[in-house]
Amino acid sequence: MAAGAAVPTSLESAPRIMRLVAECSRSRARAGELRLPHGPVATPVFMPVGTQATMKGITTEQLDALGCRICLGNTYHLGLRPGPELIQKANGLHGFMNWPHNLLTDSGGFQMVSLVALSEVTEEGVRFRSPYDGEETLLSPERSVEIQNSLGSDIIMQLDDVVSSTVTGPRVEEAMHRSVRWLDRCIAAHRQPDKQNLFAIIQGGLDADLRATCLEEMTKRDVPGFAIGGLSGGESKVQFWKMVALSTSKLPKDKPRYLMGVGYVEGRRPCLWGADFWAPLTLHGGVYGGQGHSLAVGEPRRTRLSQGCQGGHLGSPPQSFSLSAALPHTCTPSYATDLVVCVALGCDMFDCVYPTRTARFGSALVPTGQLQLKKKQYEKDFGPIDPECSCPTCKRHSRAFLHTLLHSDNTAALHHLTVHNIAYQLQLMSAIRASIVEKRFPDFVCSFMNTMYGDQTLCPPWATEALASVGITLS
Amino acid sequence: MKLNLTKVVNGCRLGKIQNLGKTGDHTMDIPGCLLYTKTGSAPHLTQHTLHNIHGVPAMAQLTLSSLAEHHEVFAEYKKGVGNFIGMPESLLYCSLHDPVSPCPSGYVTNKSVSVWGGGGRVEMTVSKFMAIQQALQPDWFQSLSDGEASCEEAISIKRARKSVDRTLLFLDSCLRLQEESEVLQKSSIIGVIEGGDVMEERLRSARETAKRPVSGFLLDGFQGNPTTLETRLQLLSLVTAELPEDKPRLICGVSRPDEVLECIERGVDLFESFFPYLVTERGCALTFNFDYQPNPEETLLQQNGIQEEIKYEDQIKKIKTTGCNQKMTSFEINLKEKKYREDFSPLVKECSCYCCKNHTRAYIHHLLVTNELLAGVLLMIHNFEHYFGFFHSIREALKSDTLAQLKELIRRQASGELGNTNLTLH
Repeated sequence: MAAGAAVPTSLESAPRIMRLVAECSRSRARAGELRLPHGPVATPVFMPVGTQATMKGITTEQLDALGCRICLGNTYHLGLRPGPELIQKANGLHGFMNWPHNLLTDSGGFQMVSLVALSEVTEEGVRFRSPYDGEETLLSPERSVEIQNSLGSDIIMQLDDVVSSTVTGPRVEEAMHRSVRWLDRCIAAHRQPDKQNLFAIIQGGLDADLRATCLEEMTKRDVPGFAIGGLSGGESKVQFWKMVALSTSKLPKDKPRYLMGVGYVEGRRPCLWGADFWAPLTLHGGVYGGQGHSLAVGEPRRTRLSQGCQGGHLGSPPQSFSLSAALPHTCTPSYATDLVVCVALGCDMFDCVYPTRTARFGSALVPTGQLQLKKKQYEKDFGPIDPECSCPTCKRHSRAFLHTLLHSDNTAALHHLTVHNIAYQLQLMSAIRASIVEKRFPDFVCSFMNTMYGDQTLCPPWATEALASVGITLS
Repeated sequence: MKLNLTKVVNGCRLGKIQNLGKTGDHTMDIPGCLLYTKTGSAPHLTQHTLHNIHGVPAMAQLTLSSLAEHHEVFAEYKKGVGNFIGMPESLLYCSLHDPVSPCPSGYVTNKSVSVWGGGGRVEMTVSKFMAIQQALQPDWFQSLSDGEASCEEAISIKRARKSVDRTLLFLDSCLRLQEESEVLQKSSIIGVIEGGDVMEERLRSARETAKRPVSGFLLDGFQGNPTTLETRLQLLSLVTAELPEDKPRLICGVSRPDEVLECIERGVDLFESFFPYLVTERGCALTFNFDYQPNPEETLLQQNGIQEEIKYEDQIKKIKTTGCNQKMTSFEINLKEKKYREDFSPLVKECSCYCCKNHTRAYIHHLLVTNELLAGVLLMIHNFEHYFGFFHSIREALKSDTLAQLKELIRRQASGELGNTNLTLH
């Protein structure tokens, strides 16, 4: 079917928005610079997710001060509230939220499928019912691009036919081919190619042949960048890295590779809504925390919208809620490991809600993993989260103070951690980038694994294999 | 510490408190307010966002109710609560209770007072209370007191008398223990005036407390229902008349702009700033005008602001968690209202706070509708700045002998006579 797809008509040769600065001689890691309408962005880059035109409890000034130069907005959420017309009146999403740097918006497709109970995918698009007014809407490739045109983001994503990576059979192939057709429709509908960069999203699930076909087709389209999609949804880590490696091996070198929603930890439950909201005048009678622990068991006041992740983690939508499900992840995740490995495999851009979300559960990211600061062991720990971290939280506050504050209803506790976790991510990417530029990335990786796991040999097998496949051996 | 009065006008005291703090080089303006905190942090704000605010008071209020349960932590930390909370540069005042949270009655005994924190009740004898203060090392702290008289509607003379007796006993014990503590030499004890609504007891409390070597006075039990405020205000005048002029007078539980002015006229110097916090929690923004300079535009008020707000006020349910009246006032606008959805003006025109310089009503509305955390942050920034600006205008009015105009302007807004959509500030 893909072979019969029409070649995109009106798009002239897409600009090369990526400049390569350095490449690792052993692995596929690259350091580069994106040239975007709202300024340059150094890669590899981590993009925090600011779903509803806000980076949760931190101001755009704080985000800028941390060195962030690109973040995400979600088209699905913004398309419903406040809607593209209003945002356009507010001078686009940049104007609406007063963010001077770059924005990337997704297509809305993923949330559609994961968050909405009754959504139906056809060749036309995704038909769904708004959780707010019950109105039926169709999100087509054209409509998605139209909304994103109104939002005015610097990078926009094609609408893709999203299928969970745990799904097998003909549906996966159907979705892959449809995504190619939808890419062409997006390209045709895109009204501002000079102001907004439309990225394609490689699909194909966990099937190497399908993915290879998708790569072959999509790379024929002259888009400014490519995203690797359809992963981070419940597949095993082994399958995950192999698909990433396959994708990067066939994507052009001179265009950015965006790995969408990385950060799903093997064996973990799909992440559930927790401390996302500050709600004045709640049923509890006036005390708000954004904290997970302040939510009552079975509290029904959440909207359907709030279920599931915004960044792409979800296997299948959760069926029911319980307080235990809303607690922080109990396994030892290492989102940072995913990042390091995928940089080695040749990815340039990453987004994930995990660092900001886990902050709101009281969890601070550190080079050795995470600190669950609400735990009693931190009650009298008078050092900072990370003595090597230069973020405002670590410069001024101790673990003990944050522990105390986390047990209060002052939302400031969450903001301190959000600041730190974003800083952690950005500092990590900076360090990765510096090591690539200075031609010592493999050493950096070994040292990183040492710190994270206590010993390189304790690095998870999937990561060791993945690194080995691109020439980095952990001793 | 030294209180220098610049002038006294119709009972209002204008001046400065100098030589404050451990190093003795801080100053506070009076009339003024204290920065309200919850568990040692301004609500919703980190240091960065707090520093966005202009005019943050030199002294912050900490509440024992939020800190007492962490006594052991402070004891082990040893460097005092200012360092612990990351506010080493700020003056700190430790009050017993949180003005926003309820204070269940029936728990004060001759030997102890209780506070309620996140972990439940913490009972304190004088020695425990002082041990906690030793660990906290605040610049000022109120003495242990029996304030239950103010929680009840109609207080018996016997109960009022008891509150005064106990509070004096507690005070004397605290003072004694302070003498024995090297660490607490640098902290100042604020004596607490009790007595409920009983005039003789109030006077007795004032006179007796004034005899002790306290650094200032806390006027407790004057908060409550607006309907009973009138009686309490009369009593307030009588009480402050008994107090020495050269020591600051604080009042707890009073934070509304109109009530603040009433109390200043009756000799009160320092207030808590929890009112902007309450406004924030109901998704509202302070918009009342405190620019009393005659202005032709003032006569062109738009009245459309009033109607909807009155409607809203009727609809809103009274929240029972606190002793304070939680209803929306006419000093504020409710950003959740649909009319702000496409309003791209700032919360208050010409307000120079971070929120008004960077964001619009439409954006705040969106944040509230989507229950986003940033709504609280931005509203808190604006509301604090607006409120601190109000206090600044009070001091300016006193300097130029124009407090009557300011008072009239506030009175008209309190009664809803004036529209609330934003007058020009200069």
